[in-house]
Amino acid sequence: MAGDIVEITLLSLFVSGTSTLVATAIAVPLGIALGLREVGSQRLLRNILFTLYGLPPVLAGLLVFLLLSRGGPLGFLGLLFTPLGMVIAQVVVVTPIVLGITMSVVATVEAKIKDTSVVLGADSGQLRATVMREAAAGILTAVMVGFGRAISEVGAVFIVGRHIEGQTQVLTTTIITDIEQAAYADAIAIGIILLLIAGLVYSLLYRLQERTLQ
Amino acid sequence: MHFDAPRRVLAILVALVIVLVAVGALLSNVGTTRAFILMATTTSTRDTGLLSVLLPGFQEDTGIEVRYVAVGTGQALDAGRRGDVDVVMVHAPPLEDRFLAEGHGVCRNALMFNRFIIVGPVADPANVAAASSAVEAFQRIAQNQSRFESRADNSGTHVKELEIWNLAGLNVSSFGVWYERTSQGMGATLTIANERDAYTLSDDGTWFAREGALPFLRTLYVGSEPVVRNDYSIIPVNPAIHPTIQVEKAVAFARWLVGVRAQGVIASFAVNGHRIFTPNPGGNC
Repeated sequence: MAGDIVEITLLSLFVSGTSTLVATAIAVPLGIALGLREVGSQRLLRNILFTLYGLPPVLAGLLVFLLLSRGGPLGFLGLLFTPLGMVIAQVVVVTPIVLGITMSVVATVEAKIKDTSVVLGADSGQLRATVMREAAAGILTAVMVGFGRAISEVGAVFIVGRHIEGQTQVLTTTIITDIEQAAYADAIAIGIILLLIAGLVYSLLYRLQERTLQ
Repeated sequence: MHFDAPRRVLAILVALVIVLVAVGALLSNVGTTRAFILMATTTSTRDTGLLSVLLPGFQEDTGIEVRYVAVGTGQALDAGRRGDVDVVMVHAPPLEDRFLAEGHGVCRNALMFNRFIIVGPVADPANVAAASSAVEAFQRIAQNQSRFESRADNSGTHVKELEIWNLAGLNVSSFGVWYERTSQGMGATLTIANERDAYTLSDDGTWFAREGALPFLRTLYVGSEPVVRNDYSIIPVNPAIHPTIQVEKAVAFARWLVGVRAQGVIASFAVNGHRIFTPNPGGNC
């Protein structure tokens, strides 16, 4: 394996963490609005959304690659083969996932408590607040799933980052190149790190979720 | 009051995003003149370990850092065409000629050469070991319809493979299922050949670096005729098309590579005890 394992791990966490946060900032407010049917032309939006929900990471990678390549429309930014470029690619992958789950959760909760709340005399603002409180655990799940997708994703970050030593190497791309070089022991070691990170993050978020539910 | 909590969360989220994106911009050298140059090179120069001994010497002599992406020659040249890299290190003279004719490179320096060899299953069903030339070896494989793994990735090795089939009077589009296309790098293709008892064309450097992990393959043809010679060149990308190219540093790198220090490193470079590259400095950079 070429490259420093600590650096690689930190960059993985940085890229996937940042892209999940950016995706959360975009998708959660939008998902709540969509779930509460506060936005017009619901059907069309939902259809687009659920198509993007299954957006293959390699396709996201290809699109962001063409966008960021110096010959492409955003080429002047010089973001191809950089960590920020990888973040952009993963935002494209993660946003629809967080958006889709948030929307579903909010819509389900709203349908369940709307009648009761209105009967109890809640106005639309109070209803909204109640829905959001009830949906918090579900939204946290959306973010968890988004991060899980990002940290384990390889297609988009490989195309946009290209695994440059000391610059754009992340855990998943290192496993791929280690296998190509028949360095199976290194690949397994990195796989274990990846698994530990996923386990750690999920157990942390699970605890948060439990606290929210109480 | 109910809205305060979500708003606070959102504010914290936005602040975090801003901080992280700023860190990312810093890591990505946004808005600064890059102190390094970016090179697209072939997988063989990375996989043999040559770059790890060559690049630190250049940085020591000039203070310029070279970062690289390792891809097939076709893709490396395409990265140059797009202006995504400052310099390309490749090994497919016909593709390079076209690249230069199109005006994408400013000059070309020859660096070194190594050999293409033919490896295959230990049992050697096509009796390639008895071949007296690479062309004859390929004819034996085709005649016997023995499984063959083609890189099929427009890499220098793939271009060379097609040239040998052509010299053998054979057309790959007429081949049956025994001719398999991997579309992957040399290391991955060797691994596939090892698992599937197939023949393949490899550069000797990657083979020597990997043979320990390829127990079901062995070297079956090693020749010295011109067709199996594998010439490496370095081409700085033309800044007239993409102004962000750091052409002075790229040309400095091309010149340094044909100098005494670099050529000495190339000559003494060995993979698992095998010296693989023959220095061959030249060119117009």
